[in-house]
Amino acid sequence: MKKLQSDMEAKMHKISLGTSLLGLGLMVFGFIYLVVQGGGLSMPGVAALSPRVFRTGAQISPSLLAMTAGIGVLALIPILRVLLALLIYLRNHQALNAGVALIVFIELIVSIRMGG
Amino acid sequence: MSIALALLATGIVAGILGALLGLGGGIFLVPALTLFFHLPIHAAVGTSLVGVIATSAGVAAIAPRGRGADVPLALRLEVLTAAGAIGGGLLAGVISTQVLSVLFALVVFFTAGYLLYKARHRANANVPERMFYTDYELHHWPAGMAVSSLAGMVSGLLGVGGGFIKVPVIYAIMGAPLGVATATSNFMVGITAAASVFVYYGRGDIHPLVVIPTALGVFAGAMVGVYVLPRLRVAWIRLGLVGLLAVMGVQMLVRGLTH
Repeated sequence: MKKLQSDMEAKMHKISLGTSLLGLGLMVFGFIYLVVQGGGLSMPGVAALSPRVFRTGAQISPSLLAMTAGIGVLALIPILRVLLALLIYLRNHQALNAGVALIVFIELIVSIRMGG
Repeated sequence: MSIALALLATGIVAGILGALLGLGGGIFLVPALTLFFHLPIHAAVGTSLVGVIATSAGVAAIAPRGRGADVPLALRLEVLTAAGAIGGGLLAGVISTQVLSVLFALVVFFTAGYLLYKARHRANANVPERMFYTDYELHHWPAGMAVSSLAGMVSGLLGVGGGFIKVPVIYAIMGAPLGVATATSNFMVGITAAASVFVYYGRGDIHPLVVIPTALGVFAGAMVGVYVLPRLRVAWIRLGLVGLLAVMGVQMLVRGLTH
């Protein structure tokens, strides 16, 4: 059990660090690109790109695209952690823990559908 | 640019406090963003939710081996917290927010009192309490789950994260070490925030120019908090929690009795 916990901790550490750095990197890139291009920095500024904008095929500013993608990647971290826990429990035949993780995962997916 | 730097500094403070107390930091971010930066409340909550996720990720990314969340406990409590949040949303038209605020204030005051009682009546009280250890047993599951679902219900009704109630429940009622309770709460608040953030994103309440400096600050602050946490005494963290619970309890009580 302790080995499983330790294994999960190590994997969550890697996934959190890697995904956070990717998300924060995209955000910083988009922000700096906006500053370099002389874009306005008045607060609160434009909202993050909605999925509808992508569907319309409208021209999208690269800085806003990078910033939105970075926020999206960061927001996915808790979901990835729950998914990772689910997969580890399934691999170790821990039916109860896997069932609990699956319920939480489904709740998160439903919330994404509500937002999209 | 000066506003971006001020947001970065605010995020750093929220991240440090969030990582230390297992709160996520939203409880500090929303008032700061609305009062000092004059953001609309929905934009402030949307920014705060991304900040909470950044705290959760920052803690998970840097926490040393053996100082992470108790994942099975977090997931079990999160099922009921999320169910409570859904129930809170459904009950919004039936139970008045005032009644629930008063009820929640009572739970908060009870939890603060119980934290102090446990500290005074601890076995081996002359030995300093350890922040982290692995050979702990969890007790009072029904009480822990009931309070967690109530915290979720209040989250759904009042829009608070509930981390300030999760830490005392896991630590004082269920018996996990304080360090494990804060790490587990940080894991849970990340999930709760992720469940709401997409709704705010869909509504257009996530503004990158506000979110980015805040999230960067929170992430850096959370890392500092994780580094500082093992160097602090349990008694100091506990005192901070009790103080925060008292403030939250009074705030909830006032909201329940006056609005």
